[in-house]
Amino acid sequence: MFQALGTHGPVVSPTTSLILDIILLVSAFWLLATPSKKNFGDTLLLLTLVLAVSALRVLMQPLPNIQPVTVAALIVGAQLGARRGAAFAILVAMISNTIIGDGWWTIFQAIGWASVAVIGSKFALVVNGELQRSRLFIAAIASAFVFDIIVSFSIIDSSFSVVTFLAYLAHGIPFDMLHALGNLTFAVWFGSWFADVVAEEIIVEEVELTSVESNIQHA
Amino acid sequence: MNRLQKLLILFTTFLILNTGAASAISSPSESDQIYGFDAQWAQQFGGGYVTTAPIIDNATLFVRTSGMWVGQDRPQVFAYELTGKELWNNTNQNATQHDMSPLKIIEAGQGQCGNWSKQLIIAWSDGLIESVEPLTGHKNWQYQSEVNVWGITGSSAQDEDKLVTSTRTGIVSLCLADGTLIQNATTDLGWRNGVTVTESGYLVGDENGTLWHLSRDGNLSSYSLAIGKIRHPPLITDAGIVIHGQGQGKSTIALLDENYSIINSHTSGSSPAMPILIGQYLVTGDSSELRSFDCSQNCTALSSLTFTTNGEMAMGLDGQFMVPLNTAQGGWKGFTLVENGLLEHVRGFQPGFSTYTTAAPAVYSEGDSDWLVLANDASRMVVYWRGLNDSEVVENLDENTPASDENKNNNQILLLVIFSTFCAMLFLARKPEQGKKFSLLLILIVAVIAIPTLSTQWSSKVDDISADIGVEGSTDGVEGEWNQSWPEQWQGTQILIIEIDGQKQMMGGYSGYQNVLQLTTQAASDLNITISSQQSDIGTYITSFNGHQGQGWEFFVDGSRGALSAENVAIEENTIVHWIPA
Repeated sequence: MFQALGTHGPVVSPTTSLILDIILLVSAFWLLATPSKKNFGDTLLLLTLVLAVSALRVLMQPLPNIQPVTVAALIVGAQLGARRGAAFAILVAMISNTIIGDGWWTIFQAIGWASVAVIGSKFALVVNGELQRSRLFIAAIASAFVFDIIVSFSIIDSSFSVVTFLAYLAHGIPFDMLHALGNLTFAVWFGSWFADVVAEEIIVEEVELTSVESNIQHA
Repeated sequence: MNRLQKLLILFTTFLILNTGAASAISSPSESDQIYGFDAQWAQQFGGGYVTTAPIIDNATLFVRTSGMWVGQDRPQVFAYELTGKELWNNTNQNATQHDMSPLKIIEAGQGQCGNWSKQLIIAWSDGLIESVEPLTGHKNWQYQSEVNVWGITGSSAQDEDKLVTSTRTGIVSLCLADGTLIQNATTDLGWRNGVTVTESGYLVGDENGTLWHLSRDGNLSSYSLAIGKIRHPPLITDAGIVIHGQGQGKSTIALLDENYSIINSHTSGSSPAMPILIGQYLVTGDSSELRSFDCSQNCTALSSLTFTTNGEMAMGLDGQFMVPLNTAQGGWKGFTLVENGLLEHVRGFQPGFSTYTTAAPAVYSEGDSDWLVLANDASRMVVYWRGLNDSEVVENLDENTPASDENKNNNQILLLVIFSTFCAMLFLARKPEQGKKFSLLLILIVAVIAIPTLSTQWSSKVDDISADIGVEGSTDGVEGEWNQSWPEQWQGTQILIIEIDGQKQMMGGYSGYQNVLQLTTQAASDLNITISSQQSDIGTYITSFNGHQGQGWEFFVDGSRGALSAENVAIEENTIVHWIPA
């Protein structure tokens, strides 16, 4: 919605922008690094996912509010947990915005998709290794509105009253609906496949971990 | 996923991202765009000029180039369909000077010297006069006039069954049926000295400031006016004959009586343009100003505006006449004559390719479509289109619908039909899961296509509701009401404020602009502020003023934040538009 208005919230200086980027980056790495250390391969695989989804977002950018990142964040959150899901979301927002356009809104997009990843992790989308498709579909639709509302906060300045902000949100409803429809389509078409891709990471990681532990015990 | 499914997805991607087929010539660039029109196609003619107006007749566009002195390039005449398809071209290898004689369409007819079909008259700088079939370029006849360094540079006229042309050295009249010479009179040398047909014969001027009259029975008489070179066809008004003579560093607008004596004159700027008559009003232009006169009685001066134009002026669309701006800035300006013949600047036509400009534009209206063709001294021509009623035009595509839009719509409809059929087949084949997936994709595609229209209509509704409940959305520092410090004459008019680096630049006194973008474009032009804009499916957005891009720009209308693109926000006659950095 805010893109439709051509407004983007406060103008940030290059220094402030750099500080915001550093904060986002540090947050992402902090989320990746704690509480349990992961091996380099695990991080590399996650970064591969980040790059692929970022590229997909850039490619899909000409289509109004079609956001493949939302469903991806949902599934990554469900499969890898809230922390790595949030890190994934922050990195995708940062990397894709270096091409699409960086600014104050990047923080809100990062927070929005991180929130979606947290929702994915808490909504029991994967039970006993099985993706719960119905739940995924519901979450995909709902997360569109969650993300859009969070991002809409980026527009608020001293001129906005509550009523004005509500009017602003009302203007964006068609785009919110389109986002939800796009999410549902992604979930229906690619949800299971993407969940399997992310799950394979876990399997590889677990196999490697088991192998390492086994070697240690035999040593 | 089987092959068919993959193929369908490929089709889908094409459907969504398809931007229309390229025209037969070249796609217009972003810099070709002008407000209110869609640039349909463009043609860059190489190293020469376009110094006389293209013409459009029966949905066929004719344009001539000149000044090709590099390599093998030579002046040409082209004929195109309005969709960009080239019908024919005609190159003159012997052209010796700028080919600026206006092209002329002659309707089919009959007379004492025979019958003739519809024809296009091309007069060349090597003295050749050609009559060709407009749609094929096939030659009907030709006549070689006398050359003195160069040949014909002025306009021709029709006198019943005769074509009358001011050649380099005189006046010839030719039978329209076969080009047979009927009259040939020798005058002094002329340059761009078009001919005017009067009740008694033909009038042309020359480079010595002499007006020549050739009667139909062959009597040639001359009248030395001593007002400089006469480089346009004399104009016949109710008050008399008008000539804008080109002197040294100045010009003279002279009114002649029936005896060709000057009865009234006005001194004006240098290098005059070709004057035009709009009803009883005369409009002249030169390197200094644009002027209007009332020629109902004695060509009284009415108004003037600072301007630089040295070429052709012509009636445009919307009751405006369009004047080329012959400066480095270039482009065209639209003017009207308001009450009592006063000049009023309406809007600019300022494509990014603008440079020195002398050719008048071509305009053409048919049904719900308006066409505008602009060509400049850099030999770039762009064809623009607008629908007077867009929704109807989309539904009723006719032969004038731009090829790219037509192809795009056809592609979309065709692919949607294929897609829908495929979905239905999946259900019929008892593959409901696949059917649901593809149906969902189909719904998404339709939604993406429909969202620009839907969102615009939705936002209008929200605006109405917001206005009803009094949501103003005003911002501190935004001008939303009349300010007593503003010029009194701005009150009740459209006012625009652009805040760049904290400095407010404003202009008022406008009226008649329909939306924010229209007003902004004009006022920014008047304030010498350059605008960059971006087209999107949901309207045109201003991306920078004077190169200041920042994090975007937002506008307020009467203090309320604009909720749509500037193009989609309508304004009233007493609206204040305020742009600030976002």
